[in-house]
Amino acid sequence: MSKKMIVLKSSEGVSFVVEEAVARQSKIISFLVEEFPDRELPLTNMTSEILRKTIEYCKKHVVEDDGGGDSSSSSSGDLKEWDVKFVAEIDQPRLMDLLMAANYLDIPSLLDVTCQKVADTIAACNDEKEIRATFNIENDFTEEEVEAIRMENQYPI
Amino acid sequence: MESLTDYLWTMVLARLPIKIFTGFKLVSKQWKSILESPFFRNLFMSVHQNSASSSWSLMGGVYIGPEVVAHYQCDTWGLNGRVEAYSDVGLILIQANPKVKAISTLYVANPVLIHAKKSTVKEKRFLYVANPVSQECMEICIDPLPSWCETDEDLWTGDGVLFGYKVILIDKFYFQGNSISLNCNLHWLAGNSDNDEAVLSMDFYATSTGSDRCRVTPFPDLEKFTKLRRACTPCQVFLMYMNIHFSEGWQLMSEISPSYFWGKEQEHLLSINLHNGKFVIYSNQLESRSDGLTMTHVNDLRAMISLKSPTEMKYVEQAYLLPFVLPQWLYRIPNTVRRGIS
Repeated sequence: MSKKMIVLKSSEGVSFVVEEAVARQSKIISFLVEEFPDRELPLTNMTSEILRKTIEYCKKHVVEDDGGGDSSSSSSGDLKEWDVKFVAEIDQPRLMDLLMAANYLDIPSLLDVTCQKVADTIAACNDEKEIRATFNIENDFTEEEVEAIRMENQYPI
Repeated sequence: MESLTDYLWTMVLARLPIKIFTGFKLVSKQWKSILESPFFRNLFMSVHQNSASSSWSLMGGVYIGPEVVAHYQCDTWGLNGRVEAYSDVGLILIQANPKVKAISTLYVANPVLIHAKKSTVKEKRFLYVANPVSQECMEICIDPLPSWCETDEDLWTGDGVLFGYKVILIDKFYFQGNSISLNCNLHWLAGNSDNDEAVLSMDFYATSTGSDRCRVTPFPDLEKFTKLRRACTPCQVFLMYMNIHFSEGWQLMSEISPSYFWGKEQEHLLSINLHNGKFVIYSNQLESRSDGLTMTHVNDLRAMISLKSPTEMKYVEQAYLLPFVLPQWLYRIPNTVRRGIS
């Protein structure tokens, strides 16, 4: 049985041939496939690397969904483990890109795991300086503003 | 790497407990504006509405020392269940007004804790609205507070709004003992005017203003037993009650396990596995502290803590637990009395 394939094109112009069922986990792609069948879909704001990662995630999850049904309770635990490993292996900048990709393509489960991973990273930071360094955020406060916020939020907790 | 949009940062930050993100307003203007936005607050509360309930309590005696022991565990706030001495909170709550000698009663309200005190001098009542986490405290003189106005249940006496905080008053006459904090509710052993005992439960997270915030659950065996005392304890996610026969000591009424009981007169802590009936009495778990207070605690800190002093045994007799429900959000208290101010 041949499966229907679609083509996704990254910002570098690299084409990825993906099973339609895999790609349809993205609500956006699902919509586009119905509107424009038999066309390759350009994803101009996604690099090949991020698109490859996204497809890897979708492939894993589509397999589990197919084999689902009543027996899926054990595999959903495995899938969670796989998700944790999946985001753990990605470095910080790419994790942020993947999070944005999940949001852009509207893949709720991928958005969930990436958001959680970023939240865990923030929770592991000791102070705002560490957060700025980790996420490459510029400090746009003046010293007076910092002092005012400190006064306002002195919680010894 | 591009920076995340406000929306995406909001999605991420709403997953963090209150204690963590409040410290991170200083990261950038974008973060500050997100953390202070009503959208963030609403999202946070909806993300956390089903998370584990808070377990917070303060412990002290009538002859309260300089310290109040607090036990807390709350995922929403990021509090991890340690037992800690909270001298600052104790000072704020107990000694904010040195003229007040008698602590008449403690009331609890959403979103913050209310202490009511009765001045023996002028018969003027004060309420203290305090949040022990942020250590903010506000004194309210409550002369104009509505007097007791009984509802149909004869159990609670009305609900008013003071300075934007809901104040719920419960007539002390009808409930016995201390409250138990469980599943965002406080539960009391209570009795109605006919001396029929029941459990009075107050849901502090209920959003309605109707009477469903307050429930009365009669004991199922009121007819069967008459001459006994009752006691309640939290047991995992359940509220368990026991009937105590005067002649026979503790009697187990529920098959949930395990649980701990504090025997006041025996000065022992009792742990009972209700599945097999085995029990352990803890009498040597005392931990001396440099300030002379001795703290007893067992493996499951959620179950029980106690406070006693080896020199002043009255502490044990008088020690009482003051459980309360943590708010779902860090509401700021206006006109805050900072610690150290009396």
